[in-house]
Amino acid sequence: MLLEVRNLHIHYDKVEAVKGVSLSLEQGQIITLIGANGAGKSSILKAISGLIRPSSGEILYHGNRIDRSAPSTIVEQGIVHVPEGRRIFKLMTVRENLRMGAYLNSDRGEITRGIEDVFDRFPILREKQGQAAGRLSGGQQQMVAMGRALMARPKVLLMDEPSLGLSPKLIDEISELIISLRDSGLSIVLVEQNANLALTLSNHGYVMETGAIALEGASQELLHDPEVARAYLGA
Amino acid sequence: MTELLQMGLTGFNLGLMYALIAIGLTLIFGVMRIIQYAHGEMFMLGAFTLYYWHVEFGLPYWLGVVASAVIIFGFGAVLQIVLFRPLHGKNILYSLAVSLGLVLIISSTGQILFGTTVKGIPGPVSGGVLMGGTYLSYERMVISAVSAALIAGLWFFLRFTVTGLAIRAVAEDPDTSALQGVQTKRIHWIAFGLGSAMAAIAGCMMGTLLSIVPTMGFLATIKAFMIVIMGGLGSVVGALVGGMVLGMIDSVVTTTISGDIALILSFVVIFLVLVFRPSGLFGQNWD
Repeated sequence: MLLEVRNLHIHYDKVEAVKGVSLSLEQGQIITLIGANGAGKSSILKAISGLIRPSSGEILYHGNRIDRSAPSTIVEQGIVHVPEGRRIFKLMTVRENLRMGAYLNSDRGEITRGIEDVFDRFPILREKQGQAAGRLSGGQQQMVAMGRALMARPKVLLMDEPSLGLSPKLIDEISELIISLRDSGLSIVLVEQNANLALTLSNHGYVMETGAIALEGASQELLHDPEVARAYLGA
Repeated sequence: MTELLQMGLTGFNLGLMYALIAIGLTLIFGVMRIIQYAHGEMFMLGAFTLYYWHVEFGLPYWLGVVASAVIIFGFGAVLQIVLFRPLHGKNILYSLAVSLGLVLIISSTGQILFGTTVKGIPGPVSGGVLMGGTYLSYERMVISAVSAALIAGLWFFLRFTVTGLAIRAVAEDPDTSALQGVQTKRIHWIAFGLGSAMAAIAGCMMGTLLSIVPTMGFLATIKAFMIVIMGGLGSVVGALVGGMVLGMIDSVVTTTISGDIALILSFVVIFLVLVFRPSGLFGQNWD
């Protein structure tokens, strides 16, 4: 197992946001966490990437515990978190944002090649490389966020609401990107409110309700589950 | 005309000195979001380091400036690690209380150790040139050039080095910086040390151009805050421009009217700036 979360509990002060969640991700798979706002999905991603300390439970990567590690150590091992709301550095240029993605890499040639790869993938960013990233459109900012994550040469991507605020056309582009990344061997944990999209893209799905997993299964099955359809797919 | 040139030059000198202190302060605020009231004390300690180095021990001037910057960098970094790190992320009032306490401790200790008489530091170069009836001292020119170069150097550092990028990233969004692999704790002490060192160098200028006393940190802190708020919190360019504006007002009004009026007028200018641009001259408001 590549990444495993066992019986995770997360508290914010006295409020329990995550109540004993277990997940597992295999190499080359996409798993998704769906559910309403405040169900604890983002908290789980933050715990995996080390931004918050779980109050109990274990997170294992290649069988080693990482739930007490600093974010920098975790990203160094190839787990890269694309946070909710993109969180690009708005005052920095597009190019500087990409450079920050490769912060732990000191090989200049590799960094330059990485930036070129991102520009090949998102040609518009090449044009805008010298502009403050905050001046870009929402879709372009999402490209910066994705590009920055790819600069870290991830093995596992934690994606928090990548479709949020994007037009249908851009959602299609992001979906294609996610599939192509998986096909190139990346493993992905996808958090989404757009359950239809998330279940279409993923292999395995977890439905979260108020901090716990209410339902899990193969994404195709969840997609056709009447309960899921009624509560999350707007059917 | 000659008087105008003289005032302009003095204003330029003062402006650069103010800018150095204010850039240091804005760097510390930007990265840590703490109000460092004892920033003026770093300015004072920097000045006295050079004073002892050069006047009391007779060691070379420029090496003394470097020593002052390095020592105060270290002092600032240690203060950050020992006092401010444990309070990071907690109520801002805690770090506020600590920095106010530092003001009292450092300035009183300064008075005991350094004495209360006014001191000056002889400059590294002498002589000057007479231009159109105005005497321009080489000392002022050299000091202006060096401090302008330092400010430019800091700008390049923040713009083109990885650590500089990380400092700007942490100032903008610490969590997301951590997700890129930045050890934010390391950036904190580096920024604190760097900001303190800039104040120390400004202190060296102060000692050379004017005079120093152990209590001078207080007014320096107030002026630095005025500049930083006028320029826009966290903005290096804003601190530079704000410093120059305040330096010019200080020079022109002090020469033509009086020092007290200069201080009052500075407040009026800042007040007006904030009325029309509440986030300061170069304050960034993206969201």
